[in-house]
Amino acid sequence: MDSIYRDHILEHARHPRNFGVLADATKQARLANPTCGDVCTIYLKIANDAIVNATFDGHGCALSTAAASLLTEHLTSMSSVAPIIGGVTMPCLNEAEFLTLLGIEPTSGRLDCALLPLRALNAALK
Amino acid sequence: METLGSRTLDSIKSDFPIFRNRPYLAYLDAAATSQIPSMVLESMVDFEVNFRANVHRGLYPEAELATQAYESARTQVAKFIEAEPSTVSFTSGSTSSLQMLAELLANRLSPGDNILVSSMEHHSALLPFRRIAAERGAMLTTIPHDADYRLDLPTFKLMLNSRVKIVVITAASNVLGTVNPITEIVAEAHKHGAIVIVDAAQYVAHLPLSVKEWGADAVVFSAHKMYGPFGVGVLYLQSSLGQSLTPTALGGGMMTEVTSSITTFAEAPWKFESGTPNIAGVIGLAAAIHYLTALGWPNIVQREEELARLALVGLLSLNDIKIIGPLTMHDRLGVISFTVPGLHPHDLATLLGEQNVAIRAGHHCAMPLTSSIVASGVARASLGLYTTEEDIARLIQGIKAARAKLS
Repeated sequence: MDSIYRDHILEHARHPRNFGVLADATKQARLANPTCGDVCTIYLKIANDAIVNATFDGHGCALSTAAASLLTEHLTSMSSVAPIIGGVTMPCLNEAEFLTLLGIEPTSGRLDCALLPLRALNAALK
Repeated sequence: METLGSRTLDSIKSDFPIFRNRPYLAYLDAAATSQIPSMVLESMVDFEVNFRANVHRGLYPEAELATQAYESARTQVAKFIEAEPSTVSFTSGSTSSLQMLAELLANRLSPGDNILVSSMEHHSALLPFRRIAAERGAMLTTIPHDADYRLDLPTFKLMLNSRVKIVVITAASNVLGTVNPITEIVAEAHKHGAIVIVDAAQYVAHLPLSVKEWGADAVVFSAHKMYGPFGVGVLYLQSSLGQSLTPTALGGGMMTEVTSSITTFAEAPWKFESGTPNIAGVIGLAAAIHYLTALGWPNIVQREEELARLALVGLLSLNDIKIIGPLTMHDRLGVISFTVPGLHPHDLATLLGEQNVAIRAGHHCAMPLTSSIVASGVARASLGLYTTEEDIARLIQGIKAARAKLS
């Protein structure tokens, strides 16, 4: 079994990107995993039907923190050719794609940790 | 050389097939489930391959043998907890025992009555009683614990009055490791006429259990936490209480006569066992009791206390670590919960798992307790008969390594 604590995960957990409240956010959603106490809020600034900025805050394990960091990094670097669904440019990620982005295969017991930021993003885009 | 009574730890470990198949495993999750020795597995296979038949019904030799083994197991369980066989019913586990108890006792509650539950209860003990309280317009009140993670007995005594009909108390906390003074709790509750239900799931494999000494009205535990199989539990009901209760789970095996309009229930304990029981599992439970008894309680208690002390000292030697439970081994089991600043319990448990050190992290089915301590839950190491000093050393070393990796 490969460790989920690969170097890039540890690096993002130690030094999360885009961490903090986004003052001019146009959408946001806070999601929690009650079973482990993790909390993640995703902030999005949407302009011209595209995500132009994304940040997160909250607290959680190394895995959920790194996942949120990698997710917001992906969102802020998204290409403008992303499809538009429901008036908003989608980040083009389902759960399987997000795990590919993370580059790890969490066990079933840790999947909720890894997916919390993606679920918060989807809640914000609803 | 490490020993337990006259046995070496090597020989005890070799009783458990998992350690032959996974010799690198440091299994510190006995509070979730214990491992199972070969002789327990063999007793169940013996039933399945030599005299598999349903109990209480057949008149052929195999059915007689199955019934004899099943009822003999009841006698052995009764002896193990110092009870009469007629007070011991088999269920599918502690959870179903507690659920059944709540259903059996619900009609004794009137609006304004009170159920006391301790702050340490497992969800399986809390939730069924929370439900019957709500259904009957009764209250459910929590007995607090003190700063040393012991039950607050003075407050408990103040909470007792004639409106308290039921007290639900764990004999040993699955999070804190605290062993509660059941005899004293029962005596106090009985002064006010309350029925006392004791959850002994966490206790039963680690300290001798005497329902006679406790004086409790009902006691529950599960086989799988005491080196037995999954899917079998015990419900002890004090004799006159058991006789007075009307069964809620109906079906085959629990009645003496059914006519077109009348059902006559069997006597206790059979009236609480509707349907075909887990016969192999019950036989396995009796074998597990035989295994424990052969090792000897004084040996088990002494060995586990020494190891738990070693674990406590080792954990406390790490900077900033916080033990969530009593700091001494007085009235305490080797169920040790802790938090490590800067290290989420899930990260710690995963990193230890990668080193084949099995602990558990989270809320341990006791969320009212754990979330009041820390939102992220706690890490928990719990010891069994086969735990070695090396297992403890690997836990401590593993925490150090996890900390270094994530800081």
